[in-house]
Amino acid sequence: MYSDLVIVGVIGGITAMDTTAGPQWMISRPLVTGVVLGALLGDVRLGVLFGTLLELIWVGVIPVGGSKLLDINEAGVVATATAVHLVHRYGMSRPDAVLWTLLYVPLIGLVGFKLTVMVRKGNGYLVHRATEAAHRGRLSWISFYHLCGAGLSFGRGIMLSIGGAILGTALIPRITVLFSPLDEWVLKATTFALFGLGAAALLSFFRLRPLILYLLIGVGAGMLLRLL
Amino acid sequence: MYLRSFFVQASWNFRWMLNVGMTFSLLPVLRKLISDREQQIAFLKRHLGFFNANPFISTFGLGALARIEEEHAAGTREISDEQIGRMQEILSGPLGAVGDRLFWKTLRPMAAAWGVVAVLILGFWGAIVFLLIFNVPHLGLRWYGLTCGYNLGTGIVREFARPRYKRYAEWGERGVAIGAGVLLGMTLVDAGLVRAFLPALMILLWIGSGLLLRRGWSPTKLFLTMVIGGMVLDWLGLGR
Repeated sequence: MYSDLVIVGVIGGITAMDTTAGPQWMISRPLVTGVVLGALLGDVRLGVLFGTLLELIWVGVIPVGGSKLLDINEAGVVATATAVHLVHRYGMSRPDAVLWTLLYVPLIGLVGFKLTVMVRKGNGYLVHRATEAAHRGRLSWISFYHLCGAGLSFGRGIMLSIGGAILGTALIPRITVLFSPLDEWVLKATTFALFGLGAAALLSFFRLRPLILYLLIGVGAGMLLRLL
Repeated sequence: MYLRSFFVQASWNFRWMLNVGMTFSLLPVLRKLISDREQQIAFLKRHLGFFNANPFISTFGLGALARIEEEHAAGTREISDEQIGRMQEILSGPLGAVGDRLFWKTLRPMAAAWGVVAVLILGFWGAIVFLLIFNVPHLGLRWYGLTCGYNLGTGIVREFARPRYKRYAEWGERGVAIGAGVLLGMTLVDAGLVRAFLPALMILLWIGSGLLLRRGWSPTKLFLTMVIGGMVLDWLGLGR
């Protein structure tokens, strides 16, 4: 259990850093963190499920400057960790674990966003110190204060991922006992619906008419791929 | 400078945005060109003004500013401190707009679409496909930006008027459409294997959600509607 939390914390820290500070190689995206965390925690299938769903649905949310958005990257880490623990440590059924954890995602995303704003305000203090160092010609201190910003992001990620996973595994079982267990078919149907929502989110950037032909070519290719 | 550019956003803040990140990335230039302390301080003050850019193509600005500083230090260009600071502000607009269109609106969605398809087919290794689709152009353009910015100097603003960036975006849009289509095609077949009526229901849901997204509904609202809707239908005993 504790080793799992260390893994979740490290992945969460790296995720937060890659999202807002650097190196921004997209290793923080749910598609990557989901499969990696799923593999490390012993359930790649769950990691793949959360990674693929969360990657697409919020793909249209662009982290431009001070725009308001859910921190889906951290939510992906927390959701994968929570669902794996619910299934493998608490013995919850897969449909219940996945669907209730999916409902938890926006909450974690919102908390992640608020923490990001706090870090960015904290960066204001670091920038002030870096500017003072610049006025005194102390070059190395500029680098130090600048990179402390990456450290703040890393710390935010550790806190949110560990705290979110602990809260999720404590809260969700207490809620699910109040409702009937969910069937496997509804998990599959919801997954299919969400894949479609994700595809719609992908296409929402563009004018659709010029792309209809390419979309239909893709649909045909996808169906052939599955049937073969 | 190239390696430092990967952390240009580390101290992003609401007031000055990437100002310290830019200065941090230019420190190798400063150390190479200027040894006098007072001139170093003047250099730093020039670059601590407001700056913002899409991080992936901030290197265009870095390269240009490095060139301008080099010419300024060598005395081959007549340019004041205020003009250099102003240049940094002018670059913010195009570096933001072009980068956002290329990366956030095109390359990342394309990598996401094909990455998801790859993960569904290859499992764990599909994530590598996603990273390659995004990072090969990303790392290449970042390096190109640094060299191009350095070669063009103050002429860097003309670079973004070149039609090639619009062409890249158009190719990327087609890539997104095909990738999204492959995902939908695979999902339709899988849905048909679960329940015969599901493909038709899914197509209706997808068209509906696409229309609502285009009308400004948030993806979060639609996401919650779908998840809660599915759970309620199951509790009502429908579809079992």
